[in-house]
Amino acid sequence: MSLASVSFPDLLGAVVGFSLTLMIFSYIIGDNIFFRVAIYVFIGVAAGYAAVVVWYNVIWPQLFEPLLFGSRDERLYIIFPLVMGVLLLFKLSPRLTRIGNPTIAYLIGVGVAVAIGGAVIGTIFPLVYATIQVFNFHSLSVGDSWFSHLIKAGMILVGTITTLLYFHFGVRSKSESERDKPRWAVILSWIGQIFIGISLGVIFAGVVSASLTAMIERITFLVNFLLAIIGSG
Amino acid sequence: MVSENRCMMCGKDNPPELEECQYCQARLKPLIINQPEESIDRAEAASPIPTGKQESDPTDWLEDLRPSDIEPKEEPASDQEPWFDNVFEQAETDTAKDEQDWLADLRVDSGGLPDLSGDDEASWDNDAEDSDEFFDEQIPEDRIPPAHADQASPVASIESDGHKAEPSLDEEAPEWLQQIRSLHKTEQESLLSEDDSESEEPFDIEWDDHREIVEQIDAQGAPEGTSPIPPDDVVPDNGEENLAETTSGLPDSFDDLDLEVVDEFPDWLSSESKISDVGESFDELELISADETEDKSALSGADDHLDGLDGSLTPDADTDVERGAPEWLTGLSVTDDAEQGEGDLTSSSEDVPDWLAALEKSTPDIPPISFKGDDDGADLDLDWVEEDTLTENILAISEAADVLEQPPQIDDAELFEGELTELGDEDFISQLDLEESVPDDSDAVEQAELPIWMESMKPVEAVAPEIDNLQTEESQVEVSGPLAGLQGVLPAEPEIAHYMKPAVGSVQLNILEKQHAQIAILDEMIQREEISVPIPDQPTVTSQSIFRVVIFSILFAIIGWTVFVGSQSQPLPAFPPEVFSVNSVVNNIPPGAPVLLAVDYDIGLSAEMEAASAALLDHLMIRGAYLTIVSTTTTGPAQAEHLIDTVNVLSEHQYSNPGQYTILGYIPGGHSGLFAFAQAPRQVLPYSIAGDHVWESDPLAAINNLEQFALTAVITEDPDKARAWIEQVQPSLGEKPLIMALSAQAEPVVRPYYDNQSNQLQGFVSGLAGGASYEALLNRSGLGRIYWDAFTRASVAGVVLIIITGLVYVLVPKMELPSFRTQKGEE
Repeated sequence: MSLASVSFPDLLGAVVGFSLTLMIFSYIIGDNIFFRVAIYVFIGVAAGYAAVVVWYNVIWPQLFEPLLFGSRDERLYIIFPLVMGVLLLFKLSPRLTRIGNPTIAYLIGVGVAVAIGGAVIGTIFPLVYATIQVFNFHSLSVGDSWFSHLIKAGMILVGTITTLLYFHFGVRSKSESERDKPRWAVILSWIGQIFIGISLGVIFAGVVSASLTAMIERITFLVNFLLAIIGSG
Repeated sequence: MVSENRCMMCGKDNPPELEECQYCQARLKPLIINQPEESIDRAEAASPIPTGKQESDPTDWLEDLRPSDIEPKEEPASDQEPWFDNVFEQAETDTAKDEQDWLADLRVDSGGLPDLSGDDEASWDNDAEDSDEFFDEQIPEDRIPPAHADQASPVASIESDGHKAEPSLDEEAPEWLQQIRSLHKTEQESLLSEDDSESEEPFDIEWDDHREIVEQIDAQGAPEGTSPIPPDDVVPDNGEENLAETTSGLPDSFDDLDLEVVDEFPDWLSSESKISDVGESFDELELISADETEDKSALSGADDHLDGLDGSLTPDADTDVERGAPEWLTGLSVTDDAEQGEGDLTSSSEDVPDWLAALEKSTPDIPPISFKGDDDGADLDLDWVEEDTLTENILAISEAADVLEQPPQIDDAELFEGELTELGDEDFISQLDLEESVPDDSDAVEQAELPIWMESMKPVEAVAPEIDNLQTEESQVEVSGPLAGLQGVLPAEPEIAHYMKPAVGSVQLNILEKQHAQIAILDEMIQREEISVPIPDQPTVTSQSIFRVVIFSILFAIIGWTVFVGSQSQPLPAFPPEVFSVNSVVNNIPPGAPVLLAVDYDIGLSAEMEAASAALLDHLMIRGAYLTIVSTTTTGPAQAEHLIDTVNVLSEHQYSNPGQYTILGYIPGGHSGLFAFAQAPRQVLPYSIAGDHVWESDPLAAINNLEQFALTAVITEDPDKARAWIEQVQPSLGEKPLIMALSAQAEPVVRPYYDNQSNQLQGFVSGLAGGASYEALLNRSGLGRIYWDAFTRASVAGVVLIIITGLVYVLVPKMELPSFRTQKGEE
């Protein structure tokens, strides 16, 4: 790719990108102004774009346009969210913040209900059912041995129980040093710590992989840009 | 010299001519005993305030005893006569016989006064007998005490009565009188034992020995009937001879007597003028009557007596006068008064003037003069004295004693001392202890030694002291009521009724120097703790910065070289089952079918997400699917645009909006928005991000819910967003598949949704490896292929670096390398 084949906006974008990338990489030597400028630009642009999207995608078409140009039914339909939205604006005033409490309460109530319902129906029940179904040897696929399947199921079951036991703090302790916890519970909690450690390690590996991929992508961009400039030069 | 009278009650000075205080109306001059009864009664009734003056001066008898050739000294400015001058004057005024009675009692059976010479006892007895005849004539028998009826001598009767009345007199006689009596008794016994005297009377008046003095006093012209000395005609003629004989062996003066007390007798006993002064000074003897309710008005002028003592008093050069009063005289001075019965003529030993106390100390043989309740009292029996006579005399004496209850004023004491000095007896003065005797507190409780910390808690003198109140109370003079004019009287109304400013407590502590030093040390220690010790500057280059640079350099070099070289030699990873499932799902959608594509990854991880989802998008584009792009993030639409463009470039597609794909826009509300979108997608996103009515045209015109989409694909790096799509949207999909393109960090959380039997997630592509494997499955080249070589080499380098740095952090602290130091403010 040569610079001649690249349009000016693309070229300008490439130059800006190249500069910002180097500015981000400057954090290697420590916190500095270039890094902060790059961060501020990123945050600003993202916020501006978000504001535009919200206005053009949510507020105008779903609030003001029906209110101004919609039918009576549409207007009636808009009154409730409009009033709630106006009350929410009072949260900006410390003196009048209590007026926006009904809207906050409505939002929190609906959100919690949706989240809890979805968690129960979408996560807890299916995963519990799946844990039980692991021991259903009738679901074995062809080629799978029951022993390996049993080991697999056992590992899943043990991991699940021990992990939950590790996060159980309902035992009363007489003192900070003494804990009135059964020995078997202590052992299972220790096993649960192993499973948790393995899981966290896998997650950390994924984070490293993702970061490495991002680094590769940026370095590739830098190299290609330099090669393009050098090639064109 | 004080020319004004000082009121004993209020303490204010008044002109000398006044008889009553002009401030408190108390009498300034005591009433004389021999005054007419009207005046006495008037004085008693009209003057409840003790004036310090005696209505009757009981010391007149002493004055009468003064020798006649002695010039009377200039009387003091005040008209106050010695109190003891009026004692017998009062008594004699009432009843002449009473005087004779006491005089008769004074005579001893053995012959009167103790015979110092020891030779004249017989003559004295004769004289006594002769004088007994006189007294017998004068004293009616009914006046003679029964115990002494056989005794002609009033003196003897007194003596005998004194024995009998001793128990009663002891209670009534003043202490000093009792002491004198006992002293006299002791001497008499010693003398009589030598002389083998028959007299058992402890009291023996030696008339012969002191006859000269008696004559002198008589010659002075004592008031009629006041002189206790019998007239000359009563005294037998041979008495003079006997007196001369008896007195031949007597010392000429008291100074010659081998009596210690003589030397220390106050001068008032040795001179006429001094007698009057002594009479005034006796006021300071503080005779206290047992009946303290008696009128003290007569004693109010005690200070006036002292005030009258001025420099006009001159020492008496007459040696005869300096003899001092005989012992019988000193014993008589109070004996007769005590015999009157009423009142306790004793006074408190504490009230003894210092000069008298000194006198007592120097005469150990002489019993101390006690003036109050002294049980060592006299042996005299004064019952023969009429009670009324005694009453008046005692009244006068008690009045004087009451006045003397008050401690003498310092100025008065000093004045008295000065006057004594003027009298010439400096030795006597030097022996006087004018200071009030300090009570012996040897038996008092030993003062405890408080610890330092407790002593420091004692408030300083800044506290409003109660002493002021006490002083105020002490100086407060009662102005009304029967106790008007007195000081130190208990208030009639309770103290609580008096408003007083509450005492101000001091919160100051009495801090010692040692404590100050300790406080300074503690304060310094605390201040040290507050002062932050600056950490020495550490080198800016630390291990962490070094490692950071090294690691970046290594990785940058590996990746840059790989990219620069364009190496693609590393084989792509094998596709996992989940990737294969995705491939299968995508292959099963009809061509051109609407596919719901959710772009919900963060802009910072767009590189990995594009690498993971590029192959999927490429496959969807190959299938010709109509991409309906939504997002729960505000930057989702922009990221979707960039993703489409990247895939178009890499896979050589021509997907464009609105033909092949459409971007509906941002779904607000998080989980609630997803749930709402799942229930009513048209209402949640009625328009595209460009404002087009995409729901009214194909292929979205036939879609009313999400189940009508052929496939739902979610591209996200956040496991929570992935779970939200699964929990909120997947139930609305029905049988339609749900696939995802995930980041490597979200795979462990999302995989259970794929592995469980509920079949909530039909497949997913995870990270660069998933994308690369999907590309391998598709046999197409994409971002996975480009990044894979660099990724593998960088991964290996990263693993190696992790191992090496871990070993270094484990081993280096034991090696104590100086370069590994924590930078200030970091870590």
